[in-house]
Amino acid sequence: MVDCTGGDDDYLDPNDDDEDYDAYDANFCENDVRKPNVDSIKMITKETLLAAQREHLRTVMEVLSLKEQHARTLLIHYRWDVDKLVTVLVEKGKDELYAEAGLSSVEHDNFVPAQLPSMVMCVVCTEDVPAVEVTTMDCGHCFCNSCWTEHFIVKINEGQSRRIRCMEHQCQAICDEVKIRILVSARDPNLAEKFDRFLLESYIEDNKKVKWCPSVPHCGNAIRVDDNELCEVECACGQQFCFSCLSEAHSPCSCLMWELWCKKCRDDSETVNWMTVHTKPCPNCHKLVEKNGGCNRVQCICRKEFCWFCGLSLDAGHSCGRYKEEREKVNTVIERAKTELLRYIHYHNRYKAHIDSLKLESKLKNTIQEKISWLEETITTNIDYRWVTNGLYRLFRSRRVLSFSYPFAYYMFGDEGFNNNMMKYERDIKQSLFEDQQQQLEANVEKLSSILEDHFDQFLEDEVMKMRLNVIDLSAVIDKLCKELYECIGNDLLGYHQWTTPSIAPYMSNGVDKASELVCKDMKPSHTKKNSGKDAICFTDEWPSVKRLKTDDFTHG
Amino acid sequence: MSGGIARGRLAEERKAWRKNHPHGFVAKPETAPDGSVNLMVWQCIIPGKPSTDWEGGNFPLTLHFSEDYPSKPPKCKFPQGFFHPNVYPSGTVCLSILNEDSGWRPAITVKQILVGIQDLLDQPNPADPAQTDGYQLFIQEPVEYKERVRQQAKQYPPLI
Repeated sequence: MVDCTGGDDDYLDPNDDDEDYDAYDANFCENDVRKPNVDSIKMITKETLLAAQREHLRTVMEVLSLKEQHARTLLIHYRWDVDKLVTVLVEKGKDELYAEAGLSSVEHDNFVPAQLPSMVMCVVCTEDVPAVEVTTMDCGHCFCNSCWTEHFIVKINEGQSRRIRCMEHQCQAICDEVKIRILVSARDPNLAEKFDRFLLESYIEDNKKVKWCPSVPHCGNAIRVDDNELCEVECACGQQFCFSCLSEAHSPCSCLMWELWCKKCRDDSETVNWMTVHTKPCPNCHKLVEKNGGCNRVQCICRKEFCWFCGLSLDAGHSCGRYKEEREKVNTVIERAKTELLRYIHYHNRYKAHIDSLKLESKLKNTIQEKISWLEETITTNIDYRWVTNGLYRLFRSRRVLSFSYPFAYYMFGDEGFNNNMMKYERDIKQSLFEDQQQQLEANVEKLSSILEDHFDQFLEDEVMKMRLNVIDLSAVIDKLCKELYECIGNDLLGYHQWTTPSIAPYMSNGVDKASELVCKDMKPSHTKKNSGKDAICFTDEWPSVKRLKTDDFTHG
Repeated sequence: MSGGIARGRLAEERKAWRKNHPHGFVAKPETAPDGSVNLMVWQCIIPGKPSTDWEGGNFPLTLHFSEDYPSKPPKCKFPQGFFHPNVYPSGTVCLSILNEDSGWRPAITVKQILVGIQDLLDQPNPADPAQTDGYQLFIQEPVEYKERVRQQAKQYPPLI
């Protein structure tokens, strides 16, 4: 449908089909305000963090009839993946499930340890202590409260709160968080709060579906993605990022390619590479010298003459003619470095040019807003100018797509190992197809950009209507071309050997998905109120059994 | 409690050791020239297991305890350059029960440490190499490896 033989013909004739773009316009206006993706992308704040994990805890507590602390130990081990946990339960059974997670003897709810004598020897401090001052963990190992507390403090301070093991040699059991909390808060209430926070944050730290927003300074939020983790999201703080690699949104470039590209741009390694083979240090002043003529007797600006072949001074007795083999090697290295540099410069220039255009066009936003305001004030007829802002938004979207398509192409069609399984002729065909698509998109984007810069505030009404049709049509075409470019990259190019290269986040016509506030079933107002007074979320409210417990309840005397 | 328990525990470890310890092993706190005892550094000897290539060797090992003991493990060192895949060039032993992030537990005794290291001598852990020399011979040249181990055992004969 689109002529791609080159030049200006690349963009579509806007007067092709009138009905289509009116439909598109209506459709697009409807979606103009990006609605939060209520289905799958959730924002978790400090206030909702507890509620977010409670759902999972409930499920596990119900399925296995466990106490909350034991459910949490299991979930931390299985990285908050309830499906995985259930799979292990079905395939290996309850005992194995518990053993792997370091959970012991939780079967009998009211675990009563063997009666201890009135004095007990703690093997850690080797002191004899009264039985009321020792604590026995679920695994049955018993040490004095003082040694346990010391052990917990060391582990919490080392950031290992989430999996504190028993002190006994070779015991893999995880200590009961309730007992830890009681012992630690008796010694250091602040540290006990820290411990609670670490446990809470396990839901973010140990969970592949939840990640901290990478904003700097940090907004304090985390994002949960319930469906496909390969996506781009926007936090409520406005930060847009790639959920897979946490860097800025970079599709249709893949995460690995984007990482390599950023690194390359940062250290400008091509230039350095080219300089090292294309120039030689003067043996006298050590400045880098580039040869600009045919003569291999090079003279530095310091007037020192040296041999270009071997880089040594041309003083009496110089002779390096016999190293012919070496010289040929040097020449090919120079050529290769130069080709590689030119290739990099080509892609980098285009990548940069689109980013620069985007920056300039951002200013257009204000200009256009002013024009619209002026028109709305001076002209009485009620004309809807949303098509201008929609067109502008389409321009911004597609500029980014175009820009990131260049680093993608640089790696996809280069010698970086991204096309290992492709035959040379195959690669050439795919490259040319990709470049055709890219070129079409580029031509239409430039056309849209130039139309949007028109002074429509000074236009006659029929001229405005013509511009409107142009903008709406081009927007529709560009949206479609972007979508096709993503498909080409995802299916034909990266999809070609999917097992080695990660694919890319899907194309979102209306931009990066916004995260919605997490709303949980059990987030009753009363609950929020209960916790609102405190910074740290209070666990004990939910555990009547814990509230009752005093140290004596699980020590022996 | 912190700052207190290391010495108390070590004194008890010493008592327990004197009461009963495995045959051929030596473990005692360092004594300064003036006769004072430093409980924080122990000089030990680990005998090579009978009927292994390590047999006949009496390998000197130093245990360095910190004030955080027993929350943190002691550092265990053979002489510098000791030949074993899991011993660093500095002589420090690399063993899971001596690693505070994995196997170390405050209840592990000096006896358990020394027996653990004796086991390690004849059963190196190729997943966790600490020196190139010992590791590469162990993996690639088993015959040469055995020979080096036997030579080293002869280097550390019994004291008497």
